Amino acid sequence: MTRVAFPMLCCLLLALPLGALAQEPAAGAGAAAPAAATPPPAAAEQPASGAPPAAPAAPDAVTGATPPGTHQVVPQPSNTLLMDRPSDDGTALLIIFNLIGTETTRIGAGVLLDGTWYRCTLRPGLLATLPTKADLPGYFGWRPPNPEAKVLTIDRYTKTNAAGEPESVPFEKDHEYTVRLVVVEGEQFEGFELGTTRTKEQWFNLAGANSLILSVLFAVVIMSFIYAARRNPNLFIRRIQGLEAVDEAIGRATEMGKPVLHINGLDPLSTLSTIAAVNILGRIARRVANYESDLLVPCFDPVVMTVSQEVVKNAYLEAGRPDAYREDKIFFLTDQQFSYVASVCGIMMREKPAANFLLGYFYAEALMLAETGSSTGAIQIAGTDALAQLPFFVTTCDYTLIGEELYAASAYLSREPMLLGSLKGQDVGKAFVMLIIVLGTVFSTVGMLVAQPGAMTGFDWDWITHLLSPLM
Amino acid sequence: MIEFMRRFLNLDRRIIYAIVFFCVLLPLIYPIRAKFTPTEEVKRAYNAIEALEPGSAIIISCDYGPSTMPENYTFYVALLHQCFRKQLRPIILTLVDYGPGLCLRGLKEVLESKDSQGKLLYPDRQAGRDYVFLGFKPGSTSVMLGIGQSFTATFPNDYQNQPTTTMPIFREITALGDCKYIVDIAAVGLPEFWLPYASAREKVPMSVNCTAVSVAQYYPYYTAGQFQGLVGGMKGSAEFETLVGMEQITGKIPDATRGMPAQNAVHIFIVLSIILANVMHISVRRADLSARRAG
Amino acid sequence: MQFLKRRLPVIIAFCAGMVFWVQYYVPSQASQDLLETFTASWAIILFGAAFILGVLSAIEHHWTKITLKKAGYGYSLVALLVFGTMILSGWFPAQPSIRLGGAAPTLSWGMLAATLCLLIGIVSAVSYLLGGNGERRYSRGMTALVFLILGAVGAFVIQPLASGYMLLWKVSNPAFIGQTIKPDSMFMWFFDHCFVPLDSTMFSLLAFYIASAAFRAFRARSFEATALLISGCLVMIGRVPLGEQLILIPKGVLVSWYTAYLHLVNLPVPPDLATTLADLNITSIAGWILNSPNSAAQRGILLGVILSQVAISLRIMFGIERTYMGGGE
Repeated sequence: MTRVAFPMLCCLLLALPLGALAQEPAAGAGAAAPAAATPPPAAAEQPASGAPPAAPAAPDAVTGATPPGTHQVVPQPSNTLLMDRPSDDGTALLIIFNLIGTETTRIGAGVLLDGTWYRCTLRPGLLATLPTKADLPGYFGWRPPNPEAKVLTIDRYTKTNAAGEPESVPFEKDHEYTVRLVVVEGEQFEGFELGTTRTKEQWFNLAGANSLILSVLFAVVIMSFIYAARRNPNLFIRRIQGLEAVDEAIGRATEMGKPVLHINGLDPLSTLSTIAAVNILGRIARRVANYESDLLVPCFDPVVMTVSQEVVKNAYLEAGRPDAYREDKIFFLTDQQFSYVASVCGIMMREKPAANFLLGYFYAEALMLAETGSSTGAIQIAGTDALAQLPFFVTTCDYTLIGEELYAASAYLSREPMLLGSLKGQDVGKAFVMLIIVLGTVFSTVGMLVAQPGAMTGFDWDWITHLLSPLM
Repeated sequence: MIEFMRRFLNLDRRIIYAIVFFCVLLPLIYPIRAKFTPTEEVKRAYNAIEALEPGSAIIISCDYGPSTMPENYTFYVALLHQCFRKQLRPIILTLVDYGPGLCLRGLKEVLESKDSQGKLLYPDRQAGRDYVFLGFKPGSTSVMLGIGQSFTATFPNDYQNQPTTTMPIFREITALGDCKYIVDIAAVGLPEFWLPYASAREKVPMSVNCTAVSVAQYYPYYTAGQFQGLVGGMKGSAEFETLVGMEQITGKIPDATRGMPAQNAVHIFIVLSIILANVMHISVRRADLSARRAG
Repeated sequence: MQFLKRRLPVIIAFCAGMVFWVQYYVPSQASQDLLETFTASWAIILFGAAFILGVLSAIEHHWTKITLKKAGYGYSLVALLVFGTMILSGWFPAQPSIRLGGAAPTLSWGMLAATLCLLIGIVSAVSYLLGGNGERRYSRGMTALVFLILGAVGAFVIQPLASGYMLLWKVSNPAFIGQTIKPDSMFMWFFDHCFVPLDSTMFSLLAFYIASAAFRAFRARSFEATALLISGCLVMIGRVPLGEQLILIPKGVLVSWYTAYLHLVNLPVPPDLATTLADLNITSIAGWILNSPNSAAQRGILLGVILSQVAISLRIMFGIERTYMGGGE
């Protein structure tokens, strides 16, 4: 129990400060108030909408009111902030601002280099499409101050090259940039200088801290169970019917004098389900060798074929029957889906194997293989993590290994301590995920029901809702 | 009667195949217009692309082959019509080796489509400026990560062997993060890789068009909001065609919509045969049970 | 040798796994450059090499069948011929003009036949040179000679005289890059008129298999099977236009029920209730099945699968799982 509870408790305790860790980092210098109406900007910063508009009338220097007869069209941003983008490679800045605009308000940015303003955004984007601080918890945490503030990311500027064509130039790391925010409303636009800040490169992605800690903990749990299993190899695994039937299927094939057909799926060896299937092939081959039966392994991938040949050869060797191994029984057919299926169906109809093992990753051909096998009267054991094909296997095969039962099969059949230990470690991980789901659901529900912070007991339920969010 | 039911339960497969054959053939020869309304998942995919501003770049990954043309190719053509009508800039690529032929075919079909007066619908679309077809590259996830860094480094040439470094579209759209949307048209399991390696990594929203068989496995992603829209199967493509207004654009019933009556017929037949087979199975079982009790 | 076969792959797997695990959490420029180098260069080259391996294995498999005259070797002959045809037609770009010594050679049917003969001749010659038993070696040698003569005469004599172009191209010619497939080329003709119909046909067989499997295997034998049956039928009908027409509870009835309920619990009736509610038909039930219980079940299976994959990946990285190397642990 301690082995299970301790890692889970560690995760929960670590999650608490993580919510505080992912805070809004210290802002860069230059959180200037928006300037008064500026003179028309340089040609490099024309908005995409049309010809340079007339300069807006300057507001009164004392009251800030616009002169009579003019209409202040361009909305004014407030709480503006220019900062380096956190957890990045030092090539982007963030502009944070509050702005009450209309449906047609557009936002752009400009950067000052060698006395000339250059556009950071080729076409100013609609204000409504910009994310807010609340949408970016990786940068600002789950409870940022001023969560409705908009965030504009700038990471390049456009300049004209020697050929007269526009060229996009990315920001450099560790470089100072003077930036202005440009607000466009219809034909009018206005620039607001935000000051200067420096891009900085970070060496750790803080937003990924929770997944790093969890993955390290999961790895530690798996490894500790593997080493524990070496000391106590008698670990319990529940019965998996499909795997219990393997012996029965091979025995049936031996009695009938028919071969056993094994298919490793249609994915290359880089797919983990294929590795699991080849693992099981080794166990099956050993039993086939013991029972002196025949094994056919038509392969979809030449690399899988090579590895399967080695695996089966070793299995026959370990069973003490190296003479019975025939390399031409494990063969490559084709790497085209339906050509492979047609070939295998032909083999099934001609050879009439008594037992079919369909293990690995399958696509649309799953049903064709299973139906043809069923029509020949073979006992069929299927196993796949292809979710779309599971229903077909469940309806047409005698036994089906669903999802991770396929991965557990090698541990189940071999009873090797290391594999069993890994399986138990996975179960701990699953138990932890289940607990998080239940707790998260409960807390989210409570937080939703009690919408006002502190409405029930003066306690901020919103904080509880976000307690487990970094873990998700 | 019980004997008849027993024989019916062991019906020769070829009779079933023949019935399915006629269920597909007859509605195609004598078409009946099937009425349907677009579902929420398809509307979201359509509206998300409609909301993009003219000039936005959209990645279209065509990860399907000839076998799933009725479900995927029909959506691809409708999507291209929507993109060109909205003046979006599609960046088309494929991660399966048998994909380029169909991508090229669809692109040609859309770019050469004409209105009722015989004028080209999209006369001024230029490759490299308004759209680009990058072709096929092996590696799936490596390609996704690669275009997340740089389009031109991952695809130095487009499918027609033109250098991408000189293309106007890649002057401002340098990497995946500069695109506004991703649409994965998939017959294989690639949407589950597009999501973590491209969409979530570069924070670009995405929608998926997939076969009817695999749509069920993508619902968790749709309900979680990771896929903005989900267009599943031929019916999903037909709904998308309706939203895009393909019939008004091309002047004829679009392909997926035309296939709806046949799909209707086959599904009805399969459900009826299941119900009938189960009713007979239960009756035969009861008869056997009573016979065993009596004897 | 043991180190190279057994230990070195494990070390490589461990180092590569750790490097890219750490890379995910390091956003610096150096880390991004490493990722770009790997993904834009190494990985794509490796995947490309895997393609070549697949192609060569397929050729070797069929060639062995032909030379040993195993059962069904005629199909292997057809497979290799079609294989060669597709490769050749993809290597030659289609240009409308035909010029002697022109920049881009074109492929006619005659040239295709000549080049195929040359290829068969070259392969036979190689296998003749590599040796074998007396009688087979002799026949291989004769085959090589005949095809080489036919191919050379066709490609370098007959074709230039008949059509005015020669089988000559520069190595830097785009033909070798393989990205010059034009819409009107022979390759696209084969693709559109052979591959597309054949692939579609094979896939459409599934419709028949599904019908026969549904009829034969969908039996309400247990509670779970019955639930599978009923939800399967509902989703099948819900995913076709008929599902919308099969209305179980009309919208008007739903609106009146919900309005009565809201009055009962003293809550205000939303003004847009009539537009937010819709008919309860089979399509909406199918949608609910897919959105709710299906999503939940898929997530459950997916979580288990992902954790297993993480565990297997860790085992591979730390050398506990060595199946990919072949043989035992």
